[in-house]
Amino acid sequence: MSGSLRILLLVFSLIWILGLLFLLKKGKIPVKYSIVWLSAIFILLLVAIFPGLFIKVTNLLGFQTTSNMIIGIILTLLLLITLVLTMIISNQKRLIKNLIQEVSIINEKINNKKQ
Amino acid sequence: MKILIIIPAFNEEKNILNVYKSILDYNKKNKTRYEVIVINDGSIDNTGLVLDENKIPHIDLIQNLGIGGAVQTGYKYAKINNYDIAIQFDGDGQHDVSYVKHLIDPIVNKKANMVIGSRFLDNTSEFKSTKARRIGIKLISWVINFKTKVRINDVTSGFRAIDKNIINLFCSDYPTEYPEPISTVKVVNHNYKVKEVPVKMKERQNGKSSITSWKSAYYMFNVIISILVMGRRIK
Repeated sequence: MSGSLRILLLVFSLIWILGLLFLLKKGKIPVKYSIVWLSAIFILLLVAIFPGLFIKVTNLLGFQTTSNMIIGIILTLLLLITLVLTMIISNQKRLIKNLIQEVSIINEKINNKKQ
Repeated sequence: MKILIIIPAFNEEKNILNVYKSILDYNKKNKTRYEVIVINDGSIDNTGLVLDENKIPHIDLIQNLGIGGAVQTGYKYAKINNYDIAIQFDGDGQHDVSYVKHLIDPIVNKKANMVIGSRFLDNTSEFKSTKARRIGIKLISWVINFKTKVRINDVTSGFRAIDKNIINLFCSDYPTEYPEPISTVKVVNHNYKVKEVPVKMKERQNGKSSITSWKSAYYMFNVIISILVMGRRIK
């Protein structure tokens, strides 16, 4: 892996971490959901800091170059994050549905009493 | 026995009053006491106005939830108000209130927990949907039989009655999409008894059906996958 790619990866990861910490501090994302992002960046940081380790893995897994493997890792992480987001959305959909139902039933009760 | 007819309605301004009147007429003629609750699923036509002006008992959902969420609201209402039997009934005039008795009888006699009004059991119903849709229904029916060993013919029928046990079951969890076939499998998986009785269905009087033909294939695909990934029967 070329030195410039390592630097790029390092800078990129650091910006990401800073950005995440900023969002966490501002309360824009809960800690619970930031963990999946933090662990994703942590893996990228590992690649940037210990490229030797990953060159071996690259050869072992049959990737042509380390940069290819990095793209592969990022892609896998993104898919994982998307899956987690789908799960969160589905759960929220259920919660919102229950809310709408409860409010609507209570509305009916209030209207009935008025008459 | 407190009996509730739940009518989910989305943009049914032309049909809903007739449906409600048909139930009132039936009650008067047969001395039955079927109560009605219309679930107005965020209609954007004048359904809400028609319901208000004619004093039809109804719940206005503050947002559109789709058929599953709307019907579940009815079940929750049935649970809160302690109804013994809840009947799902279409708001478009497809269903005939005189068959409600056929749906209720097996529950009253403790022969079933859930009764589905079926178009396919005999020749009671002349209206049996289009051929393509019938093939789809057959396929879903076959998948349900494969998974649960129970034969249900009219898997998409929205004319069904459930007892208190199933009302509780459906209040805690009811599928929001493609609810009819999936909820039936759920009932079977909980070892409750499902029975089908023949009913007559008409073609809808006004407006458009919610399931258009190009959506049918997508519908079938979704339903079959949902049923296949559902758990097995509780032993």
